Amino acid sequence: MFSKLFSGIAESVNPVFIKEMRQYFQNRRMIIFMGVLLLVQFICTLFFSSAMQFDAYDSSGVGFFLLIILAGSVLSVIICAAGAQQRFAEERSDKELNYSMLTTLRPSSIIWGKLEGAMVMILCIFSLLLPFLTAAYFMRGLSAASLLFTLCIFPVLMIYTLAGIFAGAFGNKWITGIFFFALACSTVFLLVASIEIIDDLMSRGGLDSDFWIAVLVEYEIAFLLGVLLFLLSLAVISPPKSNRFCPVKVYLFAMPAIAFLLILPYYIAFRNTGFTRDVYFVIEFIFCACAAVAMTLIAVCEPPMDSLRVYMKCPRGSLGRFVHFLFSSGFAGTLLLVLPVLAAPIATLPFSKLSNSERSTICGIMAIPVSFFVYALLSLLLSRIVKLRIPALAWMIILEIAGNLLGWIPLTLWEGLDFGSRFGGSIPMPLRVSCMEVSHLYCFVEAFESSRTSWHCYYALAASVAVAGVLLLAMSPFLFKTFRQHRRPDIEVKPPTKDMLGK
Amino acid sequence: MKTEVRNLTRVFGKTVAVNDISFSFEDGNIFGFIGPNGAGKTTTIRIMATLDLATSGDVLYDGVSATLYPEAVRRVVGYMPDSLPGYKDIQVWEYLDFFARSFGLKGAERTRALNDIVEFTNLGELRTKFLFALSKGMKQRVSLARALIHNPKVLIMDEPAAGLDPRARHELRTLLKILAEQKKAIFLSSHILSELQDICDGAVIIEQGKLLSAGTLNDLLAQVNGGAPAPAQAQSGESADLSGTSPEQQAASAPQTAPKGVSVTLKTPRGEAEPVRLKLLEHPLTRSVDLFDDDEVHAIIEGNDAEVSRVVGTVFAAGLTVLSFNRNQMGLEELFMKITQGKVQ
Repeated sequence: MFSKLFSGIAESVNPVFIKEMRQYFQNRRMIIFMGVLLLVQFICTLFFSSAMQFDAYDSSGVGFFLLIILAGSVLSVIICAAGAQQRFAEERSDKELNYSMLTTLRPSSIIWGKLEGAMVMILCIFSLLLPFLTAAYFMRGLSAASLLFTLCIFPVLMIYTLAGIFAGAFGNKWITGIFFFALACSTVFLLVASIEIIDDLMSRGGLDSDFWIAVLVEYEIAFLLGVLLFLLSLAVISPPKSNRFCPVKVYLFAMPAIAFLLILPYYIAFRNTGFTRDVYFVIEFIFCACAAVAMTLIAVCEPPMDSLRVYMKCPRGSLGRFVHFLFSSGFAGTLLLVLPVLAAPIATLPFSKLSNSERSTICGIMAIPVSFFVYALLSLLLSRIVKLRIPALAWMIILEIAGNLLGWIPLTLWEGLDFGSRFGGSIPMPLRVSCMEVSHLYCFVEAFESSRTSWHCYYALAASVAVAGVLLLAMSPFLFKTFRQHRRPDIEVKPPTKDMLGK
Repeated sequence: MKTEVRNLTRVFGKTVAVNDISFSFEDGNIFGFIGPNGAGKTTTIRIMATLDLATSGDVLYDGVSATLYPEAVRRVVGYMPDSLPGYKDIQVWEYLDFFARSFGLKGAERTRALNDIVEFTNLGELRTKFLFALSKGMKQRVSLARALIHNPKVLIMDEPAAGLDPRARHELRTLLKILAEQKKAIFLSSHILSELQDICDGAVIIEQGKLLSAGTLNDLLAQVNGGAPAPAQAQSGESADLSGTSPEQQAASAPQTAPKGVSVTLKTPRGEAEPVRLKLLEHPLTRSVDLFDDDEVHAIIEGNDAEVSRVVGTVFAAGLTVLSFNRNQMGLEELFMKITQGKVQ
């Protein structure tokens, strides 16, 4: 029956999407899950209806609504995120993904088709919830607008699904284990947060403008993170030596600008409220810091040289060659690409009309990516100088652990420090300090001069930038040598015939 | 379509999996790819199928580089790996339909391609079966159907007969012969050398990533059986053409690793083998003589058939008794054992 149904779908539909739908609807576990969901909802409806009859509770609908939303969310997370991860990981280990890659399908079609399939399944699950959500409304206790709360779940589920696809793309047992642990933790967190939000909403008597701003911001963050996860999944399944991180690097390079444009309408609309210019700039700096950290990590994971396939796409002109060098695989280009992402916000900082407290906050934020950059440069240098065949990423992890032990533990044991007041208290101390080892010395200095605590962040940033500059100079011969080798070789290439191109 | 493997090298860390190998073949023929485990067969095949990239060298299909134009090459190459289809919750027909769509086949063209391939691989009765319910032989047929769904000109197969029962192997052999008649070039690796000998027109032998020998099957067998034609051999870095052209030239340009000569066995009455051995050793064309029990003599004699007859004739002329006289024919398996050393990297 399903075969006939799907064979009628238009030719333009992504083949991976069709295959995913066939697999979802022919999967016994999926059918059982959906059946159980319907049955549980039906039993709950009966239970809550009878409770309303006897006691005439005004709030029966609220409990029922909560139950349905929680059941739907958990089920969607299990089926769509865990299911997508498992299925993709199996495809990878069974080598089925290789066979898909041997067709004319592009890696982006494969990831997109999987995402489409999972999202359609989420819609199917929520469509199963709809009759029961309506019943919840008629049981009283919540407004129709409150039912729209379910909309907030979709971007979260989309991120979960993309994270599942990303983890599954590796086809690695360790990553699968880490993913399931993170999934379980975040699902519990999500459930607790959802209950608190719903409780807050009910106490306020409905949805106000703050709620809708929060929803829109959530959608934007989900969009930005979702695109990143999509591109990372693409990079994982693309063949090695094919410049697979190029789309990720282009996106990360452009991400601060995209975020700037996405948040601008909110700033214009709500600038008279708590959404001030300072808050706007802090958000923008956070995006720059995130992009720089991600690019630094990519640089450490990249191979030292490009493949012939990448070199053959290198333009002949010097400017084109340099741009190609920046965005093609190889640590050298990626390191140089991080520089403007770090330098632009740091350079504008002295000239920005920000309050002192916001400025020191931004310094603290920007010290984190610069610190990562320092570690990346050090680890890349060590991997080239020390002949132990230890990859740069391993060096970076070793250095991070050593840095934390040398910096964080003495700081934690130092009785003269008031951690809460020094670091704002909002962000956990270990997380903040572990990213700022370069400035640990100043923490000890400050312990004796508590009046200068706000200067810690300035010191941190200045020290990190200075060390990064020195290391970059030390790395410059490697970078220059790599750029000199990055050119299109002079070889004759026969282009494919029309027959081979499928024309 | 001419497939040319040119100076292919693949390095994994310190291990050189494939070391500067070159050979070529053309359509309408079946070529075997032989080597011990860990010789670099699967690595070479994966590069040929565009699943992996070479460290250096290239694979050219009618001159088009698989390194630079993998998408174009995939339209003309079908790859049947050593693993079987792994999806569980999908039917045979749906599985093939997915790959047909993935190759851009649309509407009636796709339906026709699906029907043709289902009929060719005899999967008609299994169309609506789920993949997990199929036996290994059936899955192998599905795998072949998947590799052929876009009607490729070159079919690359990695251990296609592994784990199949004799009937399934016979069916596979028949299908391959039909495909060769359809002017497809088939390149397959296998450990079942007797099977390869039955169906292959040529073979490439590698060990430790290096090309040991390559040529048409007749040339290769002549290499160990002795006599004309001369063997076609190649060293790493040299190109071996498997299409049967000028093997003498290749032999002249490449040193040989296998001993030359004709292997003969003479059966004598019990206890009379030793005089025969001594008589054969007197002749300058005799390279080696071995005794088996006390009634059998194995000798390797240099030269063509006439010269071999002359050498054996000296035994008869000396009045020694010989009950029977055989020229030993070596197969691909013996050739493989003779020129490989069983080393892995």
